[in-house]
Amino acid sequence: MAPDDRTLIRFAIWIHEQLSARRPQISHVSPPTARFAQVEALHRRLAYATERGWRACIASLQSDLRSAITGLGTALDERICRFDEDKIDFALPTARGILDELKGLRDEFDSVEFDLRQKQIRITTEPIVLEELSLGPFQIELDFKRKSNGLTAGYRVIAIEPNPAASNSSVTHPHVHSDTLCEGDGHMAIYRALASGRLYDFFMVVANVLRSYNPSSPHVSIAQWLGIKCEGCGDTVREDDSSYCSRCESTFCGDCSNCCNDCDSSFCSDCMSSCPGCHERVCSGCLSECKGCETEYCSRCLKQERCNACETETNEESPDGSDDSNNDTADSDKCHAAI
Amino acid sequence: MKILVINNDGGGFADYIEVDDGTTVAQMVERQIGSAKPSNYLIRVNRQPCPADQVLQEGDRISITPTKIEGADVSISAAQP
Repeated sequence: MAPDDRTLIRFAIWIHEQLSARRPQISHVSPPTARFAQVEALHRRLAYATERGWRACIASLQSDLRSAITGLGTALDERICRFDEDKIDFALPTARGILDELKGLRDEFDSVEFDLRQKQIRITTEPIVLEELSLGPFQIELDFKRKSNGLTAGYRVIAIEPNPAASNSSVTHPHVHSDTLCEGDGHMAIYRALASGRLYDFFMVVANVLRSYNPSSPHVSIAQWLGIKCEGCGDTVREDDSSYCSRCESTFCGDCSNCCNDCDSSFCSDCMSSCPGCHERVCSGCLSECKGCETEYCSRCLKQERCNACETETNEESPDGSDDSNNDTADSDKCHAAI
Repeated sequence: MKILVINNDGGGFADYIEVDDGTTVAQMVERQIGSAKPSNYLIRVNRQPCPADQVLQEGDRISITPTKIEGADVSISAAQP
């Protein structure tokens, strides 16, 4: 017997002991308590209505109660099916069965480490390439010291030659964040494989999740893996360093985006204007038309909806314009005197 | 005869099922995946690659694992039911 086989046997026996020592878990099949309660409530109401002879109400309640009982029956049938599935799936494997699982891993993957001291099994995938994006090989580390959710082990997914997303160095794969795999469609298969000691299936499923890309729900999409393209100059920038134009909603780098002096929102150069009064850069939404010359100015360059030039012109046209306030004061004084 | 079928598509159920003598791997896979393409699955009998016309034996373990399993950016911690 090869020394490697002896390690496998010891590991298989140890894993079997761990699985045997695991406390039986409460079945995931929960009783349909809400439906029970609904049937009970309807039954009570029907008894109350019958006692008082409310005929119309009785007919309606009888129909409701029948539907509720049918629903309860369906819910119970569903639970019986799920209970049977759980019962089969969580059967305890033998030490021999676990040994076969470990040997299967050795045959399936090129790089497998059985670390009995660390209580870990580590397999390394081939270099993962998704849509021409090279992410390097990943190590799937099953750690029997990390017990969680009633399982005998937890796991991590570690990038061996990381090529993380430009926007987030913790994202080493569109579906891996901080060494944690977002399992998606593989979730139940992974859980059941671990729960029932099917280590071979566990590694197969995790590896195939790593080999797949789900464009509808990545941490960082492959299109944005290397960063975000600036629509202005074409440069690639980190997501944190980019900004959206509030008007055209395109993404721009810091050099190609501007801040409106009035509303402080970000805009690209094409969506910005210059105020003819102060020559400050403002967005079109913050420009208002002068009532006199109909030219658009920023809010700081308009007084009573007129630009400086139109305001001055108006004042010059009425020579006593500046004395209007004095006249008003005089009129006010007259009023006070009359009172 | 009885064989163990592990279907890692979706729920990842493992179940012992009765099959007729002479049932081949291809027939069993078709029964499990329906009209889906067998090339989209890794088929293993007793954890070993196998030809489609291999005849299943009593106590065989056949696993059917999709080659593409879509991960998702959801807050599911590892191994949570």
